[in-house]
Amino acid sequence: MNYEFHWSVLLQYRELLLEGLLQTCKLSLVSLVVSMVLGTVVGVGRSFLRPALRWLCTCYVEFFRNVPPIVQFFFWYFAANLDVFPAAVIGLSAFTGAYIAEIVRSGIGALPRTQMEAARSSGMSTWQMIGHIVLPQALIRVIPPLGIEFINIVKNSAVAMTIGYTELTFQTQEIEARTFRGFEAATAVTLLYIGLAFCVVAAIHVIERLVRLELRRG
Amino acid sequence: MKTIGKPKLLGIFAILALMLAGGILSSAHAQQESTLDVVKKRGTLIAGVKSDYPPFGYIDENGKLVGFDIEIVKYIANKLGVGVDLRPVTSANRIPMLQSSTVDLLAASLTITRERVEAVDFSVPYIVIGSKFLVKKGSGIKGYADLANKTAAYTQGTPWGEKLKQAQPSASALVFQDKPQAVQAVIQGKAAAYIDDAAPLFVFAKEHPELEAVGEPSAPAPMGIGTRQNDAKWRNAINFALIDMWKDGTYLKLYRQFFGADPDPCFKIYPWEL
Repeated sequence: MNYEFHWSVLLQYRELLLEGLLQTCKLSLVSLVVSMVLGTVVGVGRSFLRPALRWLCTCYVEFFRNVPPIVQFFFWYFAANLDVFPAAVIGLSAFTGAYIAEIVRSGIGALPRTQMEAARSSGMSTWQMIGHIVLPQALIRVIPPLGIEFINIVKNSAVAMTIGYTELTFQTQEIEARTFRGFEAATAVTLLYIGLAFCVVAAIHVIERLVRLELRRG
Repeated sequence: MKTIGKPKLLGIFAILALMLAGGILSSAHAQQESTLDVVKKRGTLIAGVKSDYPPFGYIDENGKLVGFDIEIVKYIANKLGVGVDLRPVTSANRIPMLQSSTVDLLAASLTITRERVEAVDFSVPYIVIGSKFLVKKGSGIKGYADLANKTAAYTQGTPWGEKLKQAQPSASALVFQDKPQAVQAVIQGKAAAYIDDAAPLFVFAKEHPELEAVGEPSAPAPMGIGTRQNDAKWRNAINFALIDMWKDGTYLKLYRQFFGADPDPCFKIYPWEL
């Protein structure tokens, strides 16, 4: 088929790529914060709340974990009639939050029971125990799997283009549609996603080291 | 915790680069023979068609892929004596799918434009079709002038984004991957209008009584079957099949079946005979 490469199209449309990269970062960062909060709350809920509320948390996890992200995006955008960005953030956060909740719950489950007993014996309330004893220890243990979820947020954000969110993959397709240079655009987007993923891994790594250093200092 | 050292990271990058280069080289050095020979040897014609664009290509009540474009593909395959493998494409990915040899031809409501002939070759025009704005009934929108400061929807890979920017710079755009989402956006008022070819918009308007297809976003334009560039043997085979289709009356029968009307009397596929 003799495909000739014209890498110059990437330079020509660099503003589209940059715009897409910014939008992907924006959506990923906001969703990261929202899903982390949501996941932690639900994860703690599934471990410590009374049965009725615990059951609600379980329902949330099982429902949002098992529905494909694209269906969730369509639901928030078309059925709930939200704007593009809120729909994308909620769709991505609710999906990822369900996974994070399970990770947080596993972190809590990995703590020795004696930690909780010691906290109780020192006269701490349940919420004091969760805030001072359980969460700090549990979250540190689950930093590596959380990193995986954060990378997944970046990758899953591409699904937002189905509801017209102009993120990185969308802009790549736009370059493809305008210039018909598919391979160049695909190569660019591959490298950019790998770059983003490495940034997330590096950031997680730095955070983990800082936290552990802090702990050692006391 | 063990960390990934710098040399290891470099190694990972090197492997990725190699994988990428390998994929590119192998695709760049693919065969040179005509697609016609490839199709005959394979015994199947792999065609890129629309699956969300009535009456060109859509899924019917029985879940089968049908439409005007699809019947044309079947006719061409029949002429060549090969089977048919239909691959659904979108407006955005159809030309890359053709260029990467994923499909042998595009019968995907592909309008012939000066930009597109830079990337693909076209058969003779097989249909001429106008365009419309799909709007809510009673919206008062008749043309680009009425879209000032409003939002218009279109799908990625169509020329309507550029047209809109030129004709109505104050309008904002909502870009979707598939047609149904664009229709849904108009129904929900997320977009004031959805711009596309007339024939599918009439179908959408019939399915949703609250919508109507109005105006003329651009003059009628011809559509052609898309092939990879510089493959005259393959393009000729397609052209001859289209001419035969017109001559033996299949074209008119199919046109009436799918569009519910006669083709524009000005349009004709010429017989290339003296």
